[in-house]
Amino acid sequence: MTDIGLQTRSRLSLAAPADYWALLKPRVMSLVIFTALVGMILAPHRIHPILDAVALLAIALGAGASGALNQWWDADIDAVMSRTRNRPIPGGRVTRDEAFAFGTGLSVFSVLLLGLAANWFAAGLLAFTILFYVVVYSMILKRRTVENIVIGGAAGALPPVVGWTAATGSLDVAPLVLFTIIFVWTPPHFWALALLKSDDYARAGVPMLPVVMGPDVTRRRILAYSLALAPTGLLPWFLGFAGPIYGATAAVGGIVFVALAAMVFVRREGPAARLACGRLFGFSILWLATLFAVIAAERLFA
Amino acid sequence: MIHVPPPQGHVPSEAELSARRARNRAIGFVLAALVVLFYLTTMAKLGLKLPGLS
Repeated sequence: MTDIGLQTRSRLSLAAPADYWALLKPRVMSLVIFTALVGMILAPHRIHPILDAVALLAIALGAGASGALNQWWDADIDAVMSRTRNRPIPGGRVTRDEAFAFGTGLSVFSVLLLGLAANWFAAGLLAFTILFYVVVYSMILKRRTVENIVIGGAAGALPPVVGWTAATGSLDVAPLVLFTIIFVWTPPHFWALALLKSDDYARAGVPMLPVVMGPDVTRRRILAYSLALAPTGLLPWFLGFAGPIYGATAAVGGIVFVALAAMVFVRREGPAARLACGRLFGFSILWLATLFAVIAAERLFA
Repeated sequence: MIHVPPPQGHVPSEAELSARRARNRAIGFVLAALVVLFYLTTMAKLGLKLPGLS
């Protein structure tokens, strides 16, 4: 009975605000903000500058909440992989329960905020995006199938659609084309990284394509997706909601993308192979950022 | 008579106290930001002009 006092002892958390910030995956969040903003800029009419900003904040918080819940669920995987082992949960600075409460609370808040600031259609779409990323991708697909990022990529492709619907309250062809571009872009982007980090994924038991089907199949798929991505990138110009500068950028970018994918396909051994994968991975980020920046700039300065 | 020492609670370390202070400051900042956010959102939703803005 004398140890009752000891049972109430508990250590205070050592989590700093920066750890909660890291739970939000700020780099992913910045890409989400950017693509959602482009969706808003392309929309034919806007709600109100302040409400636009609040809607964008809500979308960003929803993306951050997804990141926190993803880290809550994948803490065991993160602890094994070199790229992620210093994240707040495997690093021992934030508990899984704290991350779950943080992510869930932030999810609810972001959806309510978007509903109140913009409209409930956009809020429902944001809720769907969060659920898709956490439940469908993280909980179901990621550990079960090599198609994890192919299907799960839909979650990352939805932010411009949410941005558009936040501004307009409805759907149209343009946001769906932006969705398609990111959706087709996701597999070659992640598979280039997976080729570089396949040992990590194998150790963690994540069935990424290079781990399950080997690097050669992965290289073939990267090339195939890149060949599909180049014309997909031209769709906004072809359908008339992007101008000639975008068309030229997408054409040149698509050719370079395919050329880099071909390098990945050809160079299969040693440092040259790793360099080719690194180049494709880096260029894929530049490609997406440039196309979205150009399409937004064309609209803003038209 | 058996002597029962009074239960001693956890004595926080300097690192724990420092982390707690930082969290409290961050929570304070977030709460203040929420006040501004809800004020601006309400004014915009009601179509009212914001003081200092034309």
